[in-house]
Order: sequence, then C-alpha cells, then structure tokens
Amino acid sequence: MKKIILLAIISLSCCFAFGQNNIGTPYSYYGLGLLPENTGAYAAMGGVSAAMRDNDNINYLNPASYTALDSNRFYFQLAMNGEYTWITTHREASSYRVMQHSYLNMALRLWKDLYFSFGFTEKSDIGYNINYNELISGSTDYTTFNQALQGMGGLNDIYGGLGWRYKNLSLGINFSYIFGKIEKQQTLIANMMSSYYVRTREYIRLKDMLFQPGIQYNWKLNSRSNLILGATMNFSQKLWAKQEFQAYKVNTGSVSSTMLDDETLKRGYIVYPFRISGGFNFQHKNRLRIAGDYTFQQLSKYEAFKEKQNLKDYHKAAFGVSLIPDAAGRFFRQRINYMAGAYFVDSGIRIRGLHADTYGLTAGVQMPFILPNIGNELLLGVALDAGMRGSERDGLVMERYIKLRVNIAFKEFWFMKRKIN
Amino acid sequence: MTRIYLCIVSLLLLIYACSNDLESIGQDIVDNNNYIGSELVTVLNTATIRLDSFPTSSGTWGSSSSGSSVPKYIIVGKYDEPHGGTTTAVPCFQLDIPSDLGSPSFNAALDSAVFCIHLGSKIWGDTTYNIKSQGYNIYRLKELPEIVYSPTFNDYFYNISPVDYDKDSLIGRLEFLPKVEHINKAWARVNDNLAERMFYEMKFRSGKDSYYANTYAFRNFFKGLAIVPDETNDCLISLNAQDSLFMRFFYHDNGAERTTTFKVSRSEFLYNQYLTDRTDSPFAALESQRDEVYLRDVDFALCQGLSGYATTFTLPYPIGMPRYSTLLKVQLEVKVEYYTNNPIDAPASLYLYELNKTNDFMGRLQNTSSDVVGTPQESGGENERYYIFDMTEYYQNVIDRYDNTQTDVAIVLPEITSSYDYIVVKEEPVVRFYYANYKQ
Repeated sequence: MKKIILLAIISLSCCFAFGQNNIGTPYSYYGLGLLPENTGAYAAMGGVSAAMRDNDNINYLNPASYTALDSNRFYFQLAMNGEYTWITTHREASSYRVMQHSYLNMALRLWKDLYFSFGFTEKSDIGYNINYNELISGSTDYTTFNQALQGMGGLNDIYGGLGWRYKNLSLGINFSYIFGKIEKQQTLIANMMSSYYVRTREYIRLKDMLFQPGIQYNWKLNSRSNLILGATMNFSQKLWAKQEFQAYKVNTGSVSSTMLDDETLKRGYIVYPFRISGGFNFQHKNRLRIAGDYTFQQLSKYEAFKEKQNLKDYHKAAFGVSLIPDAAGRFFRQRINYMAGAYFVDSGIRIRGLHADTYGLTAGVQMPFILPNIGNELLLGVALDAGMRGSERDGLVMERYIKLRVNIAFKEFWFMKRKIN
Repeated sequence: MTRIYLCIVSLLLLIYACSNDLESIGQDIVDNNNYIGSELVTVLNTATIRLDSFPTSSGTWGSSSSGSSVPKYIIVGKYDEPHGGTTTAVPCFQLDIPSDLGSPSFNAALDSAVFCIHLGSKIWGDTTYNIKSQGYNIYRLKELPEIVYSPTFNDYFYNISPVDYDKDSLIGRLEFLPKVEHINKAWARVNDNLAERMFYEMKFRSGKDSYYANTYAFRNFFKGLAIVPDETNDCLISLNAQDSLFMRFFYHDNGAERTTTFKVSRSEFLYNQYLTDRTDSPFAALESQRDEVYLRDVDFALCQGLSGYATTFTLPYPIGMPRYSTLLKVQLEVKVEYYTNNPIDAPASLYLYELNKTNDFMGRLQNTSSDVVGTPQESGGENERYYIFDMTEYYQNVIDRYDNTQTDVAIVLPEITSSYDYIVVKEEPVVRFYYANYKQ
C-alpha cells in the first residue's frame, strides 16, 4: 500500500514537473536550447556517464551499461531537480527558481545477456523570460517601449534501448523518438496611452528518430581493480521540423485583438549534430570509483531550416569519485555511496566572441534501503550541484546556481523462481 | 520504512518549493532586433479657410413639437481679434405669449416692463485688466423673419442671415461691465409706449382679434427682437436663452403686485448673426470658402468658432509598412499658441472634417467606431500646447484599403456656432506614426 501511495506521489509530481518551464536562463535562447550539462544517475560525480556501469543505477546515457544490471530484477528510476539561480550583469541582478523532471527510466533483462531499458529523458531545455525597456526610435519625448521575450520548450526523448554483453565487452543502442517544440514569445508594448501592442508566438515543432549506440569494455587490472572504458555517440541527424508563426495586436483600451499573421513559415529539418562521449572508470575493490568523461558535440554544424547559427562546438569534461566504505557494513553510513565531482562545459555559445562556459562542483550520496519485501531495494540519491555559467564581461550574464537533485531507484525481484525443497 | 518515505517526500517538497519564477535578465545577450519605432510626417499645405456660412438656428424640424427646443445659448457682442478680424454677434429671437398671461382687471396699473438677461457659458474678451462697460440696444424687428421651408436646407437661418431691425424701434438699452455678477443683474427698461400698449391689450383684449389670441398673431405683431452691440464693445458674451432671457411686466391689480413674463420662443425663429470684418486681418483675401491663406505665407493658421475659420491641410500617406510590421498608434499633433490669461480660450476638443476639392465639408473623419477627436495635452514648451488626434484606426483602415488618395481635412471647433474659442496654429502639424517591427 505504501509503495502504491509513494508511486502515486512520484507520478503526480512528474506530471506537474512536465507542465512547467524547466529552466530560466537566457543562454537557452540559442540553438536547441541548453543541452544537459550534468544529468544522469551520476550527477553527483560531475555527470560522468560513458564508462559508468553498476547494478544499482540505469545509466541511460550509455546503453552498453544496461548489461551491468541484475538479471532477475526490474529497475525503476526517476530524478527531479530543484534549482535556484542568481543572475547578474554588470548593472542588473535577478534570480529565478525552477524545478524540473530529469528522467524516468525502467530496465529489465530480456534474454540471457540481452537487457532492455526504456524511459523518458530530456535532450535540451528552453526557458527564459526577459523584460526590458528601450527608447522608441525617432521619439522626441523620450517615450519608451517594453519588450518581453519568453522562451519555452525543449527537446524530449522517449527511448527504448538494448544492451548486449559478450564477455567483458558490452554493446548497446538507444532508439530515441525525439520530439518537442522550441517556442519564442514576444510582447512589444509602447508605454503610452491608447495604443496597440503586439504579441507574437513563433514555434518550431520537431520530431524524429535518433540512434545512440554505446560500448563499454571492462578490463580487469587485477583481482581487486578493474578499468572500464566506454563511449557513446550519435551521428548527425536531421529532425523533421515545422516552424509556425502567429502575431496579433491588441488594443490597450478595448482589449480587442486583431490577428496579423498566422502562418507556417518553414517546413524542413533541424540538424541534431554529431555527439560523442568517451570516458574511463577505475574501480577498486568495489569501494572506490574514479571516473572521467569527455563529450564533444559538433554544434557548429547545427542548422535550422538550412540556416546556420553562430554556434561553436560543444565540449564537456567531467570528473568524479565515489566511495562506499563497506557495502556490506553493519552501519547504514558504511553502506552509503559518497560521491563528488566537477565538470566544465563549453556550450558552444559565442556572444560577441565571448564564451558562456559552465563550471560546476558536485557532491552527493546514494543511500541504499532494503525494502520489507525480500530482496527489494530502494536507492535514494541526493546530489548538490553548485556552479556558474557565463560571465559579466561585455554585457554577458553571469549565472550562479545551486541545484538539488533527488534520484530514486527501485529494483525488485520480478524474475526469480522460488524453489521449495 | 516510514522514515524513508518521509525523507523522499520531504526532498520532493523541497524541490517543489522552487516554484517557477523565471523573471530573468539578459537582453544584451539575446539577438533580438525587433523594436517599436516612430516616424514623423508633416502634413501638406496647412492653410486657413473661412466657412461661407453655417446654420445658427435649429430649423423647423430641429425644433421639437413641444416648442421647448430653444438653443441653450445665444451670443451677443463685438470683438476685435488681432488674428481673424472684428466679429460682431447679433442674436435675433422671438418672444412667446406667457402661459400664465391671465387677464388683468380694467383698473390694473402697469408699473414697468423690463428686459432681463443672464450669462450663459462664458465671456470672450478682457474681463480682468481693462474692463470696459458694454452697451447693447434692443430693437424690435421690422418683420418676422421669413422661414424658407425647404427639405434641402432644413429651414435654417445662417450666420449671415440678415437681422432686419427697426432703428426707430429701440425698446431698451443694456449696459454692464463684462463680469458675471453684473451681467446677471443687468436689465433694460422696455420702452414705455410699447409696454403700455401691450399691457392695455392684456387688459382689454377681446377674442380672436387680439394679438394675444394665438402665437401666430403675437409673432406677427411683435415681430421679434435683436440685441445689437455698440461699436465700442470689446466682448462677446454667451447669454442663457432657455429660461433667463425674457421681458417681464410688473403691474398692480387691485392692490396686488403681479408679473407676467414673455420668454424666448421656439428655436426656428432664434438665430445668431455673426459678421466678421477681415479688412485689416491677414485673411482679408478670403472671399469664399474655396479661398485659402497658407500658413507659410502668414506664419499662422486659425481655427475659430463664430467667425467660421477652419485650419485645413492634406493628411500625408501612411508610412510604408514592410512585412511583419504594424501600426501601433498614429496621432496628429497640432502645436498651437497658448497663453494662460488669453482673453479667448482654447477649445476643450477639436474635430476633423473631411473636405472635397472645393473645401466643402463632407463629414467628420472617423476611426473605426468613433470620430477623430483632438484633445489638448499639457506637454509643450512655453506658451504652446499640443492638440493630439488619435488617428490609429483611420490610418489602419487606409492601409487595409490600399487607399492611395490623399485626404484634405479641416480642423473645426465642435461648437462652431456657439463658441468663439480658437486655436492659432504656428507650425505645420505633423502625423506621428508609431509602429512595431515584430519580426526580422
């Protein structure tokens, strides 16, 4: 009964989370929005993923890792983020708070060494709400206008993935259905009596398939240590897209509105550029893990309806360590997985030649709980992610953020045959 | 286990506390070139014209069947205005038989008969610094004004309709200082001969032969009155015509004091003559409504009531509106002279009338659902003020119609027949277009 209630709460929270804007950074204005900087089950380790595999977490970022899961259990995993960001320029300061659902995954073994995972994740986020005043050009009496820019949406990913193991080599592939919209809203209103104001809404709907193969190799260094090397990638993929535009103007007095435009601007595709991620994971005595990742995405090839944007390539470097004092220890604190990490992201955004890089430090724990049912486990992960994005130079925005992430993973015995002696 | 669930729920609640408040900054990093701009376009050929004539009575059809439809105000006086010339206003009206006329007894004795006035809306002229006594003679008309019944012209009298009064039939004289308190106490003693004659007829009238028998007979007897200002007057005054303009008889009847009052008759016989002598003004050349005196030639344009001046110009074409741009507001800005203690007020509102090529008024210029109206704004430099006309919908309609014709318009006072207010336009008016470029 308690599990049902808990699942209901979690499911409900997911619904709320999907209905909201996920982020609030003006840097999400560019391209597909802000690509995930630190996500996945190992967010507390700087978001390393390429070579990460264990039988507690569904590492959906590399499908080859599915083969590390227990063969007789069903996995359920979800994560949510809360974020508080202080945002400053050289003359202004503001802050925003958002919450977001990060991912929802499930996994199970299908056949011998073949594993399957499916779930819902995010590929990018868009969310900003910028208001500012400017002088009306040509105005002789210093009349101003207000421009409000809002962005929302992002790309979502429903995937189904397979992982197959051959000895120390694991291969996997995620089949993703990418969909979502990139929406930009604008309000232009003159600060004067009895006039009209204009509202526009431009959105790109897109959908298509994306394939993400992955590989991991588990290299036993000695009886107590092993080194896992991993990589995952996707080729450049054209996502079908349609750009639509609506504009109408509203009389400030009568509030009556007149449609100005309602049209499909373009049909075509948006290029989701080539992305590759590679990394290592050194494990010692199943206690210590040291992992590092490098991710590259060729954002300079990003195109929307055959038009390039001023983006450079995306780079991410992440490093993390984790320590379990004693997985079979007597005390609860001994069984906790303590994690820490750091990451650096060059998002590819260039504004007046300046980078909008992100630096972050992470720390967290994963706490295992044995549920009353025999052998069922719950892994509660809590991660803190503190970082900064951008700078205050030359009119750019500096964002200092702190994120709290909760990762909940269940694993239950679904496929164990009971034996009666 | 309960502690685990509580822990999870608490963490979720903590995350939910991060309600989505996405107000952020960062306009400098967003590549957005949409904006609101404005553009000024000067109107063409600003000039002053003079209306040939305009009705100052309500006509037979404008007068209600109850006979109570008397215009609220009549204007009387003379004013020498340096911009437009000297305007003389002579009101002409009929009196009606009182409903309580009664029948004074044969031994009733007339004490006096007086003619009374009361200030209507306002006074145009110097009522503060150099106040001069204003004199007015009240004459009887020679004949009852002739109404020409015509469906086309609606039986109007016009500002140029003659007032044919009999200079030998002076029935009284008013003199007062142009102050409210003086005007409201002013009265003129009615010529004794006329008063006695009318009073005698009240006492001894017999049946249908008396001019008190019916309104028609009384009008034909009395003819009507005109109030004629002295040449030396320097004020135009609005008088209340509805219930405060009357001739009253005071008499004693068997020792009792009695009065009877003759008030202004129905409106079809009430009109105002306005004559403007433009001989020494810059507008001397305005012989007909087609004639124009350009602002560029005399450095100003005039719009005024009573004297019939209107400021005309040609509205400019709307500015070019490229794709993904739209008009947010269009306003006509008319800069006028403005002095706080000016003897002549600035009007509270102005209308725009559309003109044809011969300067005939074709009707008020309209936005989609209302007239284009100009109202004064406090903005402006010293001794100047702006009238702003909201023309957004008008211009939007022009754009929607792909209309390439240029429209000639005239600024006109809403109360051109009852107000001497004016504006003196010193610069060519401009049309300011506010537009939004909402997509690159």
